[in-house]
Amino acid sequence: MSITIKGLNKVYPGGRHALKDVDLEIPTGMFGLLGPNGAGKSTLMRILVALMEPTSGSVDICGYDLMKQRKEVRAILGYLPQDFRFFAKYKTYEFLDYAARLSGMNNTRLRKQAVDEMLENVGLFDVRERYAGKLSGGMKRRLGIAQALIHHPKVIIVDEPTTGLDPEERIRFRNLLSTVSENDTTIILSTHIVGDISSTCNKMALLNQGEVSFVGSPQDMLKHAEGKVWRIKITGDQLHEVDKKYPIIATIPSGTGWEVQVVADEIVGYEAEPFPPNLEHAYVYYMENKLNLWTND
Amino acid sequence: MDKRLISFDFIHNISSVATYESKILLRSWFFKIFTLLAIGVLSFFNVVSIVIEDGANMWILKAVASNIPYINILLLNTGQAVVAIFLASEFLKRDKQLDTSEVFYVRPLSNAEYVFGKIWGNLRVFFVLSLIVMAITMALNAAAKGTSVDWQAYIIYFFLITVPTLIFIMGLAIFLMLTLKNQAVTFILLLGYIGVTIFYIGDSFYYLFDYMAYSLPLFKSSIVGFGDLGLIVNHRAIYLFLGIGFILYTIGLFRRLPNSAKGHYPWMVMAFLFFGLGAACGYNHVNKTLQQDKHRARYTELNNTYVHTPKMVIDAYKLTVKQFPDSLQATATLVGKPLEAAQTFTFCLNPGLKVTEITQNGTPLSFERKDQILLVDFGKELTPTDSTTFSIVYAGYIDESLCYLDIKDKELREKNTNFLINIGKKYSFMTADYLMVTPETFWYPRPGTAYSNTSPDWQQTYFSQFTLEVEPIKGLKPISQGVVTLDSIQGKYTFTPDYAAQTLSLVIGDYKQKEVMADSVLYSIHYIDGHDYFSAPLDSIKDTLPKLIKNTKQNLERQHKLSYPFKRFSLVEVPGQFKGYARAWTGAQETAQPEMMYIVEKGFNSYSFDIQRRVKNRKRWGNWDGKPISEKEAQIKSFEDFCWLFYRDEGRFDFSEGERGKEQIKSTRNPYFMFPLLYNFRYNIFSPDWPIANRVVEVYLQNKTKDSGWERQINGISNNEKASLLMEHASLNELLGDAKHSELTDNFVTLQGSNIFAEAEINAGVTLFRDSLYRVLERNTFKNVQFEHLLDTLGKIGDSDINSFLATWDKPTPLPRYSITKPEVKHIKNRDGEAFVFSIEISNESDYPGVIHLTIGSRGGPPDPRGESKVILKPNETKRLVSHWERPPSWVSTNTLISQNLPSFIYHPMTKVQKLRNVAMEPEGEYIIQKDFLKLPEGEIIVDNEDSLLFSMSAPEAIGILPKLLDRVEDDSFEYSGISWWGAPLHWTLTTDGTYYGKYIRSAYVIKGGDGSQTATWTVPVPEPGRYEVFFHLKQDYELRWNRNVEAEYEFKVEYNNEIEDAYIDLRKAAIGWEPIGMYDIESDTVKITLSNKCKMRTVTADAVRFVKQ
Repeated sequence: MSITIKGLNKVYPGGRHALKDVDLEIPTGMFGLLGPNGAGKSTLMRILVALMEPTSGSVDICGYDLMKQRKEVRAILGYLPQDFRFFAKYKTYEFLDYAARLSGMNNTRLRKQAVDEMLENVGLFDVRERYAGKLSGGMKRRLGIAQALIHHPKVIIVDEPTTGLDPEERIRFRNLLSTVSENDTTIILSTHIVGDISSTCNKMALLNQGEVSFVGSPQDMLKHAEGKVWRIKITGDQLHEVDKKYPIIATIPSGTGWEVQVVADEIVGYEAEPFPPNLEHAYVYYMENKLNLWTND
Repeated sequence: MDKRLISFDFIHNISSVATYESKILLRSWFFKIFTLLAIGVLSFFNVVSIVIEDGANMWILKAVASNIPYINILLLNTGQAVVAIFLASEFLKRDKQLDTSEVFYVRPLSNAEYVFGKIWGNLRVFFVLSLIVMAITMALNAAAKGTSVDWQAYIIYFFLITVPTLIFIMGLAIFLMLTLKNQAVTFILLLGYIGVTIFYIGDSFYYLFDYMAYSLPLFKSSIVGFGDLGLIVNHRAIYLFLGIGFILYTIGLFRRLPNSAKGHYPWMVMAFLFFGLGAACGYNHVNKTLQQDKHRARYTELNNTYVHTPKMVIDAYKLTVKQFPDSLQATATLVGKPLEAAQTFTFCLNPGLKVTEITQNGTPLSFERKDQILLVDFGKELTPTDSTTFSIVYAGYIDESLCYLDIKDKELREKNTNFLINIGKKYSFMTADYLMVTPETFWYPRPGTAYSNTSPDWQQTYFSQFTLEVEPIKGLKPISQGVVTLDSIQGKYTFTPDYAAQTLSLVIGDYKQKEVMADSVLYSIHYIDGHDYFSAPLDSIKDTLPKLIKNTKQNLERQHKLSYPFKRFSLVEVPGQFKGYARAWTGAQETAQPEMMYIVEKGFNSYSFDIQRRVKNRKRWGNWDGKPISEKEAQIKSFEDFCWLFYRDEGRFDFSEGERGKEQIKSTRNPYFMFPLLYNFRYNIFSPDWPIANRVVEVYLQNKTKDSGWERQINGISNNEKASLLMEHASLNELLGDAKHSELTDNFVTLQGSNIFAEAEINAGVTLFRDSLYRVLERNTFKNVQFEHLLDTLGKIGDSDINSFLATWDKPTPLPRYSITKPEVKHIKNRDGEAFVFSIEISNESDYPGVIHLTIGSRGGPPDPRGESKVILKPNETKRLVSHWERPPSWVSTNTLISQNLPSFIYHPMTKVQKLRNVAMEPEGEYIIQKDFLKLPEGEIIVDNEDSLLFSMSAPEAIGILPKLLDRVEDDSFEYSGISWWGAPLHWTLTTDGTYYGKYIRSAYVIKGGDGSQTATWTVPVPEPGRYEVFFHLKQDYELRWNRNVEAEYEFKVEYNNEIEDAYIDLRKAAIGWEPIGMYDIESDTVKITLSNKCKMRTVTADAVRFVKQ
């Protein structure tokens, strides 16, 4: 296993229990960490990148004990934080160069070459002289991933990378990560956007209220929702009623009424037909039925 | 901490962080603006002060080239310190705010590398800025004419000033930022710290808190370098170590998990190690100063112990000195005669000089050494008739703690600064290529002890015949008193003074000499090789110089009525740190030595020495006046200007503002005043009881009882007046021993001196008595004269028992007070002839006797010796003085000397002469008359501001805390102050002047012109109802002259008969003196006159009101 997390707890000074006995085995490849906002994803990420100390538990990253061998761990890590917007006054290429230098790329010529290549890979070569603060949101994200990748880390941790990106940028970003994950690299992708995981990860975990509530492949997750997703045709007056009874995933106008997709074990009182589930449906079903957390109020 | 602390990665990571931190700093507008300002302002300063010859042309910078980098780096450093605080706290704030910083935190670099990198990144930008400023300064320095480039100084000052300051302030800033977690609080705290250290603490606590090196004596002499490099380096190390400590501590506190679990502990340990080092250096610094104080106290105590032990008079000295780097080796052969019979005699020799052997006729003598005290046991009793010869072999260095034991610690520690250049103070030098020892260092054994604070016996000096043989380090040249001969084979110089001298001094250095013979005296300038800046600007008057010098010499001799007694006169250039002090008992400072004057290198601290500029100015002024002068004339005038330096009694004037509107000026004695060479080194008047004996005669001859008018005007009271008022409460000895009044020493001596000679002067005539004193002195050239004997002789001349007056010096002096009438002059022609009859009446209205000095002058013609006279007034005695003159007296001045009168010196112009024919002339003489000066004419009442019952003022306005803080109040126990006309006082402030009204004290209250909220009220009791004319006493207000458009009106309210009337005086139309306010029919028994400060003028003055019944 690339990363082994055992009995990890984090209690903040105020007493908030952010992580509760988290045990996880994260293999090489893309690993998705899914969970609603405030589930403890960012706390876990920050512990994994040695920005924060856990209250208890152990983390082994590629054979290094995170508590004792931070330097070694940091040497093999790439990290893209959640809110990657505010920059000191550096140009795009400088930002990358600085990151490369701090990761031990001492040879100036090789570093320059690597920086240029990376800028090409993430499509920022043309704006290399532009101040990083002046880049668009998508470009900033790409610069973020570039700095996380510049030193070819074994473990890459990205926290909510696609938030705020347009669909095109989001796809581009996912593809970029997929390409990297092919090189015997572990990528932990923390997100609350299910689509990010379904399209890239072969293993995932669901974190909720500081606890791991599901670990497996996205397909395993899907299995939970098979036969539980329905398509119902209703009139406009019924929409409000259905919304109160079932978690609605999609609402599509159709002629005089609505066609809605809901997640439920069974549908009573409406004309319903089964619908093939996707991961988003599975996530909603899991949250609603397994954890009874869904609320549409 | 990493195992390989200083590994390649360590350096690489620091360098990486630093590179990018520097980029941010360089890209910030704040820094860009600061850089432009710093470069612009300092370049402008340099261009104006050193490059442009017609600019400010600062001699202090040009004369000693190291001062150029010193001042530039000091100024830049201050700016950088402030900016660095802001930036250092900014970087932590930024780190906290930016999420992008986290992507760097997750890199494998250590916290130490990150913090070091950040700080180094900022520091190096400042360092580079400093280097740029230094490079520009150096270029301008090189372009400037008449100075050199001391490139070493640039580097040294950078390391001494810039590096420790920046490291300290950055370390402190980030430390506070991490501890307080608030940039604004950190910034305010640090700015406050800077403010407090600069403006409040300053050089207190032995300038321990002077992290910006403002108070540290960093002057670098072009002759000997730094005064005390050890002290300087130790002081800077305090801040360097503390700064490093703070940085290391910051690593420990840094909010990022260290690379290894307990990675921050080693840095904390190292931080405390550096704090410890800083504290140790701080302790060392303070301890060094305290040790010096301790040594000084110990030396004085030792002197006290031995001050009464048997002493010798040394008739002849033969000194043989060999110079070594940092030391000297000497043999002193003394021919002495005991002053009393004894076996063991006391000598004093600098404690740094160790005695190895004392022999008498080849036989070793036993001796005992206790610090400076050397007790020589001659093995048998010697009597005063025994002349004995013995040799003392000694070697070592000079311990400067022995010097100036009489000067108070506070004065010794006072900074010796000139335009931010902190020069420091040294009394002796011993370096590899320079040596300077003056008598103050006791560099050869002298009989008796050094300063004792329990007995004046230590002071006795006697004339001795000296021979000095010097073997300098090869290539150097010694300078001392007397005729010099050189044994070129042995490289030895021999100095033989052709006169008896009290003391001897010696300097050795790489000296060159220029000389000229004039009026049988050899005039030389001994300058350090390469320091001849004066020949070129005076090249046109080479041939005229002897004549000019002769004129100067004769002028000086005429001025002081004393002849120059030596055959040589030399100006000797010495290192800039050399410092002398004014003493109570002598006008001579250590800068003056027999036949020579020590001038600090190129005379950098006085514009008098900037000959080239003087010549230029002279030509320019000639052109301005429309009377262009030739180069030669300009050089002659400049040389004369330069010589003026030796005429002046007072040197620098220091202005200081006390509480707002109250101004003070203090003058220091001119160290180059020539008088000591004419008097002190030639005459030796000694007294076992009165150490100030020589000084009494010295200041008496200089006639210093008259106060300088303008200085008095600024201070509101003169030093003589202050001294006089103090003498009422303490004896002369007590006052002389009180450090609080050390600047008044001369005034005490002057007044008491004038007092004891008064009777003799009256009997013999002031001028004649003085002339007799000169003659008596002349007979005693280079001889020891006992004060009491001298007074006996003078007493015979003046028919007065002068010695008996000395008894009054042991007691406080009660102060008489005098009323003086307006002097009158009548031009009378009658059968017997024609004369101008002068008369004045003076009344002593106290129960104590007193003396008044009267000077009568007339326009044109030589001064009449009868013009100077003294008048003795018994208690409650009134005298009318009448004298006849061929020419009309046009002024008279009265000096009440020791009295309550303020001002003591009053100048009375006499413009009106009454012409009378065929009336009898009142015969000349002093008549005792009966006249009640206190009684005013019938129906006349005067209420003066000195009347505490009838004169009152409104309560002062509250002044805000800030103005109070800014106007730091100086404690001055005298109630009278000077008035600053450009920052007039906000409260009614009492001042004195001869033109104010007052019976004994001519004073008035002055306040800033304002809105009328402040008032002064005279409550006048009216003896009987009737019609009165009311007057107000006005002094001329000089503002009327220059401020021609200002509305000049005083507003009064006159309260009488239960009514209030307004009244006004238009100052432009008013007369000086009693100006009428108006005519009033008064029924009530009191009248209140109130003057308000409602006035457009800068000041309003409340003096006196006068009622005259009609």
